[in-house]
Amino acid sequence: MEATSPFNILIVDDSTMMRAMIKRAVKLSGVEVGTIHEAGNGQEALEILEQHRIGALFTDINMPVMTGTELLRQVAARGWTHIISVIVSTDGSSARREEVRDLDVRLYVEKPFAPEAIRDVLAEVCH
Amino acid sequence: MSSLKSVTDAIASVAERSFFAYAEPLIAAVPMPGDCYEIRVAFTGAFTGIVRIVMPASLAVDLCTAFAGIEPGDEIEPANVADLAGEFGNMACGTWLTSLGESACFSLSHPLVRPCGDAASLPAVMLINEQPISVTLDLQS
Repeated sequence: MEATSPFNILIVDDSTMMRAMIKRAVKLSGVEVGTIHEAGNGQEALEILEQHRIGALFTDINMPVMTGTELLRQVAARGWTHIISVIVSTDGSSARREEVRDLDVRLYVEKPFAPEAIRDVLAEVCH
Repeated sequence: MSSLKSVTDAIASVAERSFFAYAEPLIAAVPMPGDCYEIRVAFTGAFTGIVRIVMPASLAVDLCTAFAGIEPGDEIEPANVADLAGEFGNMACGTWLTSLGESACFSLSHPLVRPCGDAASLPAVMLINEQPISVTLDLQS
């Protein structure tokens, strides 16, 4: 783990372009963040979470290898309560929101989203 | 379950909200070009099926350019175009399924994207940025 704790972010999405879009939205938001890490699925995300201090986790739901829901279960099982979890998904159904209700999800952003949505989320989770 | 119209409504919504594109219904028959991408997104949940979207390769490039904020004329990796075409399909399918308000969760497959050189025989159902796209909804149960 890193000695200091800037507000590092992890973006988890199987789409390279979607990760780039979220990363760009984060940079455009004007909110000061540390390192922005990326992962293509939940398994890759866990490996990054084990090595780096992450403040906020932005994750898709439907991904190969390990879904976002399973990732959040793993995060909860490891007791990483310092991580603020944000779901960024096309699936905005009430059924899906209910499914993740007990996984300590702070915010839920539906795709498609405007860059301002990411700014608003960052403003909330960084304060 | 729902009709193809609700799928095309979702596609139009995604195109306009995230890709800064202009979607419109097809008034007269427009032929599909030969050089296209085919995007397939399978889903399971309250019911099962596949959404198939076929769009001109030039439209896929336009959407990628708009989404990523790339300057027109700048080079775009074909892999990025295909990746974003898949994400477009994923967003359209997810938006459509969410709009149905079903009580059960749906799971979407990773989008399958492939170049499609034989799209000329497919019927276009709507226009995005004045380019025709073909959409089919295959409900399996």
